[in-house]
Amino acid sequence: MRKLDTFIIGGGLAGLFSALVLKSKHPEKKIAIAAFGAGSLPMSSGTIDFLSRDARGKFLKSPLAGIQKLPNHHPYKKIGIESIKQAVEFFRDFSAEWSLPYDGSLERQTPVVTSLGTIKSAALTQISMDASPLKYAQKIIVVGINGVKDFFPNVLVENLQKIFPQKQIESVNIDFISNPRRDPLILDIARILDSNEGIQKFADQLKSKVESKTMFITPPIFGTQGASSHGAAESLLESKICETTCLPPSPTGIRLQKILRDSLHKLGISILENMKIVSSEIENRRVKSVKTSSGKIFEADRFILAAGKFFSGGIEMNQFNSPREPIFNLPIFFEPSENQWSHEDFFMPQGFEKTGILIDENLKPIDASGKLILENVAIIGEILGGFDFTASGSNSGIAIASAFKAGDIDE
Amino acid sequence: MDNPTVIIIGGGATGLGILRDLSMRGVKTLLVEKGDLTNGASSRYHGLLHSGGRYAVKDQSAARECIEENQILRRIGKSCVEETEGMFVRLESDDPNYESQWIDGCKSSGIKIKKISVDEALKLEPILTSKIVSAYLVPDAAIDGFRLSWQLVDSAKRFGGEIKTYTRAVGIDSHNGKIIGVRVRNRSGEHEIPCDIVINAAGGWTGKIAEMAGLDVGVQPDKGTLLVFNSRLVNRVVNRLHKSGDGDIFVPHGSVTILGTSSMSVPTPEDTSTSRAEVENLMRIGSELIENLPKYRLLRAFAGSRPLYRPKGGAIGREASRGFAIIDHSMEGLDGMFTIVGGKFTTFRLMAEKISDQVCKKLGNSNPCRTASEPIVAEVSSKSRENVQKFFPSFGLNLAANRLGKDRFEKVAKKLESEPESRQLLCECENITRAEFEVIASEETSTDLDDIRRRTRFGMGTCQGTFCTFRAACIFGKNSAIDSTREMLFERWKGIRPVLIGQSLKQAELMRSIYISSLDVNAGGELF
Ligand SMILES: Cc1cc2nc3c(=O)[nH]c(=O)nc-3n(C[C@H](O)[C@H](O)[C@H](O)COP(=O)(O)OP(=O)(O)OC[C@H]3O[C@@H](n4cnc5c(N)ncnc54)[C@H](O)[C@@H]3O)c2cc1C
Repeated sequence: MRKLDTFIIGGGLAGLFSALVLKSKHPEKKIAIAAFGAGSLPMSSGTIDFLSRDARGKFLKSPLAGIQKLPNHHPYKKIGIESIKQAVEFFRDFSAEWSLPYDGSLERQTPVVTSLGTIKSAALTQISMDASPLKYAQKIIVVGINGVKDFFPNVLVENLQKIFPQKQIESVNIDFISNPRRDPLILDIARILDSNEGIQKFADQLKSKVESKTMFITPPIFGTQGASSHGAAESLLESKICETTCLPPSPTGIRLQKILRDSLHKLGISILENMKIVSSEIENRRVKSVKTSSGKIFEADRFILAAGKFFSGGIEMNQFNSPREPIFNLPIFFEPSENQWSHEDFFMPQGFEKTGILIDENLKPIDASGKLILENVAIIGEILGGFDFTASGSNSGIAIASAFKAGDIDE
Repeated sequence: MDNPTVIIIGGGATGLGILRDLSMRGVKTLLVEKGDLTNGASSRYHGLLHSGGRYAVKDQSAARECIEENQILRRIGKSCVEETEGMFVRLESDDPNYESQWIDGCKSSGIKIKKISVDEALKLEPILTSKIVSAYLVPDAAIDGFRLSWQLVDSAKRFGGEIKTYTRAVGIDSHNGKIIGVRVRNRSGEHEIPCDIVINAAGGWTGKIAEMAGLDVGVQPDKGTLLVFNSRLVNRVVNRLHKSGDGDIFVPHGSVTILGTSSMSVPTPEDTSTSRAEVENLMRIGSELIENLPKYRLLRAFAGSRPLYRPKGGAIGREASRGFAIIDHSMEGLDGMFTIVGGKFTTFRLMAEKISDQVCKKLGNSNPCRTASEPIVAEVSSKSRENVQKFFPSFGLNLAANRLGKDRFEKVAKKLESEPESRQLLCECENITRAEFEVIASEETSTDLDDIRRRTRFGMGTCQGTFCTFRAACIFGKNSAIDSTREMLFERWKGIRPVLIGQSLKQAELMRSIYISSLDVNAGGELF
């Protein structure tokens, strides 16, 4: 293979999105992505969460206002507000172009119903997940599907009733699969609703329930590709429908993964499937090449590391206090003391989640003293260190923003 | 129960063994437990049904008790015992003199041992270090504390025995030097239950209960920490053939392996914390037997307290006797009060027999002990297994049959047949159907998800509750799904935290993305 301009390690949200931005802004570049494992997109709800809570756990009405108040060493501050805003615009345009339009903004949160009946917030959501119209609904109907695992309409009714004590909320069950061979998943139903017959079957069973200002809440069943199934179902029922999040595998995350991959395919970018990068060759603070587990070598002028954290294997730690970034052996920030490593309350911010790589304003890796480690590597997504993105509700926002910047500033 | 003759304090193996024994002899008996059953050492333990080999040098009477009870429990508690057998191995670095003492000790305690060659040992357990210099097979086995305890209750109930869980004894009342009742506290408040006899079987808490009655028994809670690995590293119990120490036994249980244990005096048995240092210490010692140990995934760490009996001036820690003692406090001027302390899980039945003999003598009841000959619960017949085979995940059937016993198994089977949705797997790691979960959840003693977890094993496998917590919380119905989710994950987290390395980090990251990002358990209704 001819020497590449940019080689991207990691086929999750950050890696795929950075390739898309890079190729769109610099069409002449020759790019490849090494993808190992499925990444976390099929596990995730596919919403883009920029920042939902501050360091003390307080809910933030405006992600942007929250970002502005972050300390200067936070990755968002390194990326810069301007790039973050552009990332949002770019993502929104891209999603609309690929028929999975995302709605929302950096200035306010959009509500999303979870399958536990809580209200999650996100800066950007697929329009099928936007729960704002619930405010105006008079009657809310939670739709369950007989025999399908992991969706419990009665739990949603109970919890939503606490949030909307004045509204009439009820549940109904519909049928899709009879005599399944194994426990059917929400994803199986989503596949059925990729077809027109599926959508018709859905609507037929609910038509009679519609009254004025009725809104339906369903598990994420409207297809695995794009937003059209959801749109079609809404027109057939002449009512608003919103999808909830769910346990993995999550059709909404899979939809986002699909449009990212399809768009890269169209741009001629090759995704090297099941390719694990295990090491690199470095000379004078520049990475010359990386090597795969089967010994194959890729040379490039620049590398983007988007390999995720522990779950995806970007960082390994088999003994206490010895986290390792296996490819470039980069210095890693982590909490060394036993008390700081984890918190006794699972739901509180956790020190171990802060493990990761520190960066400068150009997303290049630095050590604890601020010294630049590698000149031609950008670090993006979950592998960034110093903060618990999960507790603050910012994982996907960090991924999108850092990926955008890495694609935008190509040198 | 209106007027129990005997009240037992403590729902561990010892107390439950006594409940069964006295009930079978026709004595009206009530057991009170401050938490769920097996709140103490009877589940926070290693689960080794001792052959006695471990005590063969130091304490031959304890060793003899072990081998006798070991044989009895295989008969009466079939579905709770996994007949793994055991292996003792000596490493180059271990004292050869100990080996010959051990052989003699086993012989005089009646423990059948069989010497095998090192090659054979490594063939049977290939994961072990090649630094073994000698190896023996012994009749060790694995025993499930949760299961046995609940089966003891089922058995006792058939003879009129009763239990009250989440009911704490807070006072022991007497009049003119005679027991008149026990004061208890539970959700409905505090009240007295009159009785003639109180048996203090509170394990590590024995000293605290004695204090309530103004008595002093020397019980030292001695904490032991254990590590759970996510695979069956060994097929037999593997013991190090040396003077007993920390981290020198591996016990396989179903799909996991438990390594332990340590020994550390603690002020209170409520202290079940485990530290990074303890984890590292066990890993280091365990690695002497299994060199690749750090490569295997750790699921969790947990700890329990042994009730070590320390008569004034006696030894503590590992030097203290693992035998047991029965104290009739009438000698100290409190008639009707008994304490039983020390011992092992393996010998719970014998301990129960001995104290029940004394209590019955006092009551003038001459019925003999029958606990050694009658099976604890009836077995599930192969016919009723066959009947429901088609609804069970392939290897879930026999496991469920062993867990549930005859009556509950039939209940679950009926549900599976009539409600197709109940055939869904609630817990994929441990193969628990929704039907089984629902049957156990509907019982009065199931007050939260953790109570059900201990009985069904949901949430105890590879994913440690990542997927099944949500399902269980939504199906349970007795508490709000959000609260149940919180409580369950809070509990699971206790054991995961100390082992947050390697694969456990991956699982923890996923668990948090699901419950904090996707399901946002922390969210309020701020957006509306
Ligand atoms: C780490 C460890 C490993 C072990 N491994 C093994 C092994 O492999 N094999 C073996 O045979 N033995 C083993 N043992 C020993 C064995 O676990 C114990 O001997 C046995 O479980 C003790 O049972 P028990 O019923 O006496 O006490 P426990 O099981 O501790 O029961 C006492 C109960 O009393 C309750 N209680 C306390 N106060 C009150 C109150 N005020 N009111 C009501 N209830 C109260 C507690 O909640 C508790 O449930 C091990 C012990 C430990 C700690």
